Amino acid sequence: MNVSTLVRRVLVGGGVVAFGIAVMSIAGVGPALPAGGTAIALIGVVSMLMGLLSARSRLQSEQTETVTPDPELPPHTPPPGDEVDQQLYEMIELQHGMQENRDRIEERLEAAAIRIIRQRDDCSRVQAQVKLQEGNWTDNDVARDFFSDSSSGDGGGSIENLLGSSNESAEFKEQVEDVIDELARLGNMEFEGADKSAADSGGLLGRLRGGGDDDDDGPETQWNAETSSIDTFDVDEPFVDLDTHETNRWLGVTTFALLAVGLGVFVAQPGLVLAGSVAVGYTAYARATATPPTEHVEVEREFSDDAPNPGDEVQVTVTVRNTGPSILPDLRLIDIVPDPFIVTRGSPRLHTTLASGEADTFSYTVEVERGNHTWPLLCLARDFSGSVERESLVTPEDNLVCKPVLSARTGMPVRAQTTQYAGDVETSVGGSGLEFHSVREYRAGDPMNRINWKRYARTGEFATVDFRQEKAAKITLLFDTRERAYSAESPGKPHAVDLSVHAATDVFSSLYDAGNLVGVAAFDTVPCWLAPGAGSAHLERARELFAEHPALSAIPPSKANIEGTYIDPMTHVRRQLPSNSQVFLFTPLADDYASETARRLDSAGHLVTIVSPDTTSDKTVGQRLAHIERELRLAELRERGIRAIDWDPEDRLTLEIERAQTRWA
Amino acid sequence: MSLRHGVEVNHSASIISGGLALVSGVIAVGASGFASVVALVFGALGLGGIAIGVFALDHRGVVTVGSFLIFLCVMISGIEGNMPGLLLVSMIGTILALDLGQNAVSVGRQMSTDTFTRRGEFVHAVATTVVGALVGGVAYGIYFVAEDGQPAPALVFLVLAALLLIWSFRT
Repeated sequence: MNVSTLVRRVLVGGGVVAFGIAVMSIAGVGPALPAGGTAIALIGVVSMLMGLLSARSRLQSEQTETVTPDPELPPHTPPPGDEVDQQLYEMIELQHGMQENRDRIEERLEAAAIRIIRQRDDCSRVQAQVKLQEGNWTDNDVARDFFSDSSSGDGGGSIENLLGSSNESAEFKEQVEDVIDELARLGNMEFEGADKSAADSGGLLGRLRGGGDDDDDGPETQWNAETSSIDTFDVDEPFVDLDTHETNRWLGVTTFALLAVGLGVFVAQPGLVLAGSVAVGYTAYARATATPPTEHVEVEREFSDDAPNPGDEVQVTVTVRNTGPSILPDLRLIDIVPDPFIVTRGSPRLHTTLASGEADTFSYTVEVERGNHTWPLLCLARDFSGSVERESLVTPEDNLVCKPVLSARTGMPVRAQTTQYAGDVETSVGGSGLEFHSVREYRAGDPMNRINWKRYARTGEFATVDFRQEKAAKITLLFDTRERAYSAESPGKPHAVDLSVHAATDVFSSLYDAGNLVGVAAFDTVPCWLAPGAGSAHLERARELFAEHPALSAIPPSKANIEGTYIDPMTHVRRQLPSNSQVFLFTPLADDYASETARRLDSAGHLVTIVSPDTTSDKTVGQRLAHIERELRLAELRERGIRAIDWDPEDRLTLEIERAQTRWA
Repeated sequence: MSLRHGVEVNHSASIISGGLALVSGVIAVGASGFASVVALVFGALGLGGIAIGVFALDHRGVVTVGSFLIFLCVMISGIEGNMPGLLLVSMIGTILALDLGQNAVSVGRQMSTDTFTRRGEFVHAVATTVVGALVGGVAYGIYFVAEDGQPAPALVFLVLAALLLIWSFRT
């Protein structure tokens, strides 16, 4: 016999005995009650003490209710350089990983400094390293000491590092800031809105967590599964029961009951006992719980547009019906809008009561993004008193498919690498075409319209004019879709992969209409490949790839349940890439792997054009460093003859391409 | 693509339940506060606590403290010898204030201020009021009937019996 059974039996026994005494006393039979004042007063005191005890237990226990997500908000992807800010945060606020993080940051700064020196002084890597050590690369003392100290500071500094408080880390951060500013100055880079006072560690955490600070009027962002008490919203079945728990809302009422009754007895005021009995009634109400039958909830969704394009606004109307036999007294519904969507009007939530057979609706407007979306409705159901809460996810069958339109809005200049098919790209091969190429000796069989008649008129000799042949190019649009590429400049702005895919759907058609063969690929652990081709079936396949392939999804791999094995992301692409295909590489250039890939492809004979959305920012130390590194990568790529379009997402891509064309001509 | 504009999500406590909680609290204090100055002071502080807890801080704990202060007001007025009927009404009002205040904060936190919550909140408020009225009515009825000559201890034992049995439902 365990404790709880024993307790329950004691309670029941006590209750029955007390009831019996009361009945006998009212009926006037049986032994007289100990009606003495002291006995009664004792009962009163005991009751009040129990009341106080229950108050204490109430204070100690917590009310539990489900923490709900805010699916209205767009998701958060960190800007490049966030990892440096995290490392600094660990060092300064959390005070661990001091040496590790310090080494990492120093390494990165050293690499950036060497690149800048190489560029500026046009020397080799070794020479640049020497200059760095000697310190004659800059006039700035802090910067100079930073690099010449770093080799000597490691050895004897470990004990100091142990004792070092956050003061030392804060000092380190200041040094890092100064070094970065100096590097930027040497590299002729400017930072807009460089505001050192905003880049303190307090605001750091706020930025790291994806919200703006109080004076930042950027929007709030959140991943659905991040801040709620529910682990995941990726469910397969139409009805998933998550949890049923007690909310402990009525704990305080027992205190009221005991105190009121006890006090009433103590001071002999029957009115108080009466008041106490009301509280007792509420205690019964709270305990007479019934699990609400949410398995009978049916959900239907209607969309104002069944085939929207990315960026369109769609009105969603949700109808919830109770098909069960009993009433659902307290239903709190939240439509878990997919992470890439943003709610622009209305609220995807409802608080209602549904009797048996009743239905209720709510609607909201949402801005959609590409993909094949199904999402659940979170159902929090309570009984009448609210003391039991049941969480479940109901997923209706209606899904929303959003495929991008391949519009030919943005013209993209193509490099001089072609196939044998006729097209629009001017080659350096002579033949029939439009633009003059060369003049050669006449051979029997040359077409009459290419004979240089003026020459014949002058000299009597035949000569044939060759024009530049126009051939079709094979183009592969290659996307960098690793975790690193899912970076956005600030919370609420689209990340680099979204920007790239939107740009590519614009560019695809114009390249295609010019007669080129266009294909799509992505480098990531999930293979994504569509060989360059032509035809309407090909176009349809491309649209589907953009809409539904997991590698090109709007959700980064860490948030999606994709199993990928760790291999070099370019493996799949390298195997399939045709030897005469050009490559248009869409990448934010957030790390060296992307620029390395571009170099290798270019060297292997695939002429590369890079379209790089600029998602760097300059608000914090890490972001500025990332900005510098990106500029350096762009410069290095251009030096090697690779075309690179540095695209600020605020501007239109067409403008940037036009600007770039003047450079390339 | 420029900055995406979405709705702002506001989790302030719901005004409907909050308002009803405040009204219940006023009724409770009104039925008991006139008994003595001390009671009135506690009652006023309690009302303030509920108002702050719901409208300013969105904090459940403050609401609980506020309703406890109103409870003390009722207790004091009971000690001073207030009519049982009024004490009954005050008690119902106090518990309503506690429950509806907590519900206001809970609904605000789980839903948002843009959500249509009127129906759900009203049903909850009505349910709690009906329970209080029923129990109060029955208790008063018993008290009325039993007032003639039945000893007070019987009533007490009855109430304690009920409490013990109720506790045995769930341990």
